[in-house]
Amino acid sequence: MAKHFQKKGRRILGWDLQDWIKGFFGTNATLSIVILLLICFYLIREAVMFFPSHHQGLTLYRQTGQEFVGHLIEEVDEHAKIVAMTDQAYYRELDEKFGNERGVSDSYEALLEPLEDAGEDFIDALDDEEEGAQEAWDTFATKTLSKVYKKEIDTFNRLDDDSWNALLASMKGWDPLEGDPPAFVEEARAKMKEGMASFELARAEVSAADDQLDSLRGKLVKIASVVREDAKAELTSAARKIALEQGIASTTDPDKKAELEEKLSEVKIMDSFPFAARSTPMAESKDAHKAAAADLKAKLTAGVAKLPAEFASQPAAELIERVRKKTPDVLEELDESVAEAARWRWDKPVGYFDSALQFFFGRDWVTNSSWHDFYGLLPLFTGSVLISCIALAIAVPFSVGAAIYVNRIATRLEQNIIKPVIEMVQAIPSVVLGIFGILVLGEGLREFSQVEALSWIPGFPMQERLNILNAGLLLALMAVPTIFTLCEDALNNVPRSFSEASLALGASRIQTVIKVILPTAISGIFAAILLGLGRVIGETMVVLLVAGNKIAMPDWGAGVGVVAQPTHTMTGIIAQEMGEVADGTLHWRALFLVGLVLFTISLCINVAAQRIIRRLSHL
Amino acid sequence: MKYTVILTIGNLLAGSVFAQEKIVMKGSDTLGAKMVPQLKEAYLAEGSKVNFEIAAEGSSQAFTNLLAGTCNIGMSSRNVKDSEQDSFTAKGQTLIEHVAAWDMIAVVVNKGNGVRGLTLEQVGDIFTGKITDWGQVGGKPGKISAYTRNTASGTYKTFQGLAMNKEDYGSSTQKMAGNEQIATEVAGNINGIGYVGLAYSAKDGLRAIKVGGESPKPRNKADYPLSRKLFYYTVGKPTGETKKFIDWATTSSAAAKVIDKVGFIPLVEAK
Repeated sequence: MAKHFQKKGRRILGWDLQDWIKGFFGTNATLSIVILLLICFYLIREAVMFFPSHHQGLTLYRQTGQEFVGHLIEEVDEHAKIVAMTDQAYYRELDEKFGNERGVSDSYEALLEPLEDAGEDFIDALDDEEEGAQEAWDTFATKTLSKVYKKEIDTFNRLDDDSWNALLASMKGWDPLEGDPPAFVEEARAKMKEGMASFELARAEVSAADDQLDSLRGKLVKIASVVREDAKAELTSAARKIALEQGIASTTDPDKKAELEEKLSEVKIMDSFPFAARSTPMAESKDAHKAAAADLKAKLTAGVAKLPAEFASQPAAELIERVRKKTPDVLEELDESVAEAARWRWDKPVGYFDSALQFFFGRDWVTNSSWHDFYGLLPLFTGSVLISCIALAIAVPFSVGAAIYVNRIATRLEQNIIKPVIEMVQAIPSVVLGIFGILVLGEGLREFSQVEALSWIPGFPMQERLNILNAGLLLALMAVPTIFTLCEDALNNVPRSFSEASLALGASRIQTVIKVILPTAISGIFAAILLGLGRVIGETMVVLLVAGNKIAMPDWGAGVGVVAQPTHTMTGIIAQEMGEVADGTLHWRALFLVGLVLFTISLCINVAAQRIIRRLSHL
Repeated sequence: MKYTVILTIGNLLAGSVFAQEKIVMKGSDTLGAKMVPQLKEAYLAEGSKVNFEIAAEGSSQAFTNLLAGTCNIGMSSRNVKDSEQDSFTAKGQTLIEHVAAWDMIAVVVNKGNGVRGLTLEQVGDIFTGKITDWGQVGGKPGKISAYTRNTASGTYKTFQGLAMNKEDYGSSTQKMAGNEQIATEVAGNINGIGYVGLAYSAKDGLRAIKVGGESPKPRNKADYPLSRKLFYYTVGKPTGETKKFIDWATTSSAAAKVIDKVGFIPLVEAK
């Protein structure tokens, strides 16, 4: 046989057909290995270069004094959270106690809109007219207001019909030129003001507690921003000088040369940027910072103590309870932050380990900032993991169940229908799935979640249609064919004799599946799930379109309801931002590093799956 | 022989090109990316033979080029800075400002949300993430979903400058691909808030709220806090073709139509 093949070959360049075929496949294999290695090398080189630039960025952040100011920014933000809760409680209480009056006040503002729209020219003309101005206005107001619906104006239905009619009536006898609201509205407002006076006072005190700290923050942010700009210009000037010198050397056009030389003379290079001197305002603010923090502490404690103890509204009572609980924590954190800020020194070196830590465990991803760029992987990583978990939690039972059914229980006809249909799902392009996710699934899920009877489900009613659950569901759909097919292979690999023996011993079909076949095929099934995970975590288009693109740590306080929140993913961020970054910048390298992390995860998953499959084949 | 003919034709063509006057416009990307090129097309379509050269690299370029005499018209999305003005004064030149159009950003909320107006500070705090609940600003309690443009958009930066005191966007904001997407998300989400060009704020289910007591209507353009003027600058009073173009671009209704189409507010009404 072999002889038969050999005999026929016509030799070209000393090689016969066999050799050529062998050579062709050999080259292909080598080439793909070389390309793969090149990709790995490029990816790793670009990604690893992130760390030195990131370290440089962090050092600059410290040297310019921004790090010090960063503490103040954080403290002001923490205080804002207390204010937020107090404000919410205030308005809840206001609604509960003076809903009708608030309705009057808000509806009056709302009524001005149609009047202004219709009456801009009318009111202008009214100025000149003395006689009968009031009647003219009343006719106009009656006509305009007769077209207004209560539902449109009083959105929350706070007003009863009597108050609504009284409000409309008061708009008639009212003089629009004076600008003050009609007496009816003034009365309602006065009543609200009086009833809420003590709460309002305490609220204002809580809110104003950080005035001193906030103005210090504002002042220092301005100073530090300027230092940062100057330092950046300085740091890039050396590179610009080199570029200009090269330009002068390479050009022959005298005009161009003169132009470049002029530019070169403008580039100033100092030996080193005077960070010590420039960051002095920050260093000298340490005492002012301490004083402002102490001021905040005293005022906030006093303000919180003045908040009312009794509430008409239950949510308001709960909110104020939370304010009282949280305030000591915030003050404690404030002390720590002040101490931390006091330890800031412009010339303390930044550790390389810290820089790596800030990437892998940083909670902020802020780019394109005029203050400081933060590159923290954690929110993106969490988003990817959450979506994958949901996708697998849904896909695994379906696909494994379907595989068992098709392989062991289904009739020939069912097999012929189910298998091709599931495998067909793989043929849907992911961008089509994404559009389906936005327009159909997202909208449908949100509508469905609005049903009153389902509001006990965590995360319902859903606010966003682009969220983790939506993305997870679509990815589950994409993972099913992969897991199903591989699972079925694993089940096929179980020797026939096993099930025959089990059935012969009198076990039922279900017993055979559960006790004999599943345990035998379990490692294959596990490998199938892992490969499904690999498919899901690397998917980009669907998550970019459907996950909602919010780069923040999920609010774990929502419990399982976290799945109704939007998120961002590692794949999504690369696709979204790669187009806008300049080559070789820190941002660009950060994206490469995210890519490297993804690559590593996929690699580990694949290696693990292959090991499991190999073990299975030794069986 | 053949070459001579070609050369002659070439010379004729070149001669006619050089005979035309040329208007060089440099500066702001906001003006130079879409509005001015489309104005140019409309202007040429009306039969003018003038040549245009447009470069949009940022407002600062307008002044450096005017100073160096390398452009006729500078495009700027901000007023001239004092320091820039000084350098013209030092050369004995006067800088003349022409308002090109108004740029106005509407803040939109869902119609089902009772909020009808916010202060500028509140709008800024919502997008930096300091205000997180509608209950804080007098609306129906609920967690605010803030939708913004993505980082590639010019409006992203403009809004940051006008409303947010140049602070960073909060981490809970969601970045959308365009005006239309923001409008759709806000219209479907009772707790949504976003900002869009004025033309997009009329969508069903949206309410363009008052900011600082002013509603975003073209007639309020001077008082509304999220609006800004876009300028042409010239050194001295414009003359010749430059004057013709500026007059046409700032006063004709054909130009107003173009300006309206690209989403800005013209000085005269578009017909």
